[in-house]
Amino acid sequence: MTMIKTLAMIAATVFGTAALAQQPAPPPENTGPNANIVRWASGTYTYVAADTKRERAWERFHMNVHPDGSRTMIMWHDLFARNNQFTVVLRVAANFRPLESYLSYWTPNGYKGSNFITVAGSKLTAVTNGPQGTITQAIDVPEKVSIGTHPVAADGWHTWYEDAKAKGPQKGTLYSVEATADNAKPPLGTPIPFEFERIGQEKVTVPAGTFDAVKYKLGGASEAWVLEQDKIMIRVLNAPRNLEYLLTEFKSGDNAKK
Amino acid sequence: MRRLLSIFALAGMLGQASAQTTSGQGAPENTGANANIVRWARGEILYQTLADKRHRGQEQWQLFVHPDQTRTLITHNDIYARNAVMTAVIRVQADFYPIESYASYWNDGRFKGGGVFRVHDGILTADITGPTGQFQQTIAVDKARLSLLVHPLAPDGWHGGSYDKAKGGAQTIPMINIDAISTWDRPVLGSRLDQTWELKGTEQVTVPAGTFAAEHYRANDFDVWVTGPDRILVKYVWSAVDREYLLTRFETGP
Repeated sequence: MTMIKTLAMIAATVFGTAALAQQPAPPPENTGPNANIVRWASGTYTYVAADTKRERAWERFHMNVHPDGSRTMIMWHDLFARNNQFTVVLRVAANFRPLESYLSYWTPNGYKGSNFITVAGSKLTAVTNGPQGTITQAIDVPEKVSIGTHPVAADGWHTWYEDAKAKGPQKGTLYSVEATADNAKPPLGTPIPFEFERIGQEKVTVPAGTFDAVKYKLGGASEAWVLEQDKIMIRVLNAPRNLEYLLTEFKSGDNAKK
Repeated sequence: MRRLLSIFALAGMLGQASAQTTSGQGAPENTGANANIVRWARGEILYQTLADKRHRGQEQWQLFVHPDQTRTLITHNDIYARNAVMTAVIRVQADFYPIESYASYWNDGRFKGGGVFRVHDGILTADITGPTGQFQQTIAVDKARLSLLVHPLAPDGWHGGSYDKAKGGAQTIPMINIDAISTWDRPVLGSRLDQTWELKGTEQVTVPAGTFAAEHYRANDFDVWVTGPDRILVKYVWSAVDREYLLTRFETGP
């Protein structure tokens, strides 16, 4: 069980930037890759209308994979077609189960609020802050859970609990964060059933290049192509809603190979 | 309330669970600039030693300025020289007074922790997580002048956002320092660590990203150059510890 402590102002020794000036002789510095980053990736998406390719938004992301296999994904978008601007940081464990997320949403009606979500075992705690004040949510979640924060870069992570031996649709739970233009509703999440199905390996070509990807059906309506290793999204097509998401720029690095 | 996952929940993936119009169906979508973004900027900062220009790390950031003139800054760095990784999202008022910040830190191959720091009515409240557990922290802070030191460089120009130019001279900036780089077993707590800033003048400063008209501040024992209404950090020189930080790429719009 997570220990919760309440602390008053702590006169802790601070090793912040300014305090470094007081250190007489800094130790020799590392000249190799960062020990905290096993590999990384960054990129940009365009959101378009599937039929006319009318641009609707851009999204950028940066992902670090850490030595313990956990991942940090930073995502931000400018969804001008909807007058939305979302910023999200999502941390997941080595198996992609969520650990923590911070999100901040602007909608057509202005600032909607932020949410800091932590997941420890079966306990999900969310603290939202915005026009509606500060609200804390504590709920139980099942093992097979993911967090829907709405940018697309990490949407492949919703398939983390895939059973490779299973055939057909697989089911779990999505903690879907409220993101509508109704800012009277804070950006808290609701657990809802989630379903996906692995279709198979496919090559997919997008403006960023041609990738060997895994194709999934997500939520019954979307086709999604993701990279196998880090489940980074390459392309999404939601034909019923005439929405398409394409990776337009992609860079990655593997520090283990340096 | 549990409900069936409809087509809307995974619209364009989970991307657009909004109740707004759908693309190509229903009311037309906005085709102009985002109403929530008055202007934006993004850039990269190089970390290097001052003496021999040895590269130590790099930082990438994105800034959004909103219609109410509040600002959101998203920044992350890779300080390989120190085996540190920092991620931060910072929101400030029009006058750069902090509203909220998320910060997350890795040091020497281990997750140190993260947290959200909110400032409201003279109280900073933090929800902190990490390997040593979850904590809540409250600190009484100055209601008129404050800055959060989260340690990536991009927001460091904002520390002087409350500097009174009419008054001039050395001025104390009340600050909360977030413990980013001590050992992993020390939680990411905030503590008071004020700085003294003094405006030295306006200068043309040239960095790899270009030449900028910048305000030059002497802050504690380091020098900072910031440009424009958003106090974009152009250059930061800390001679005492042989450090230099330079803006190497800069874009702005619309």
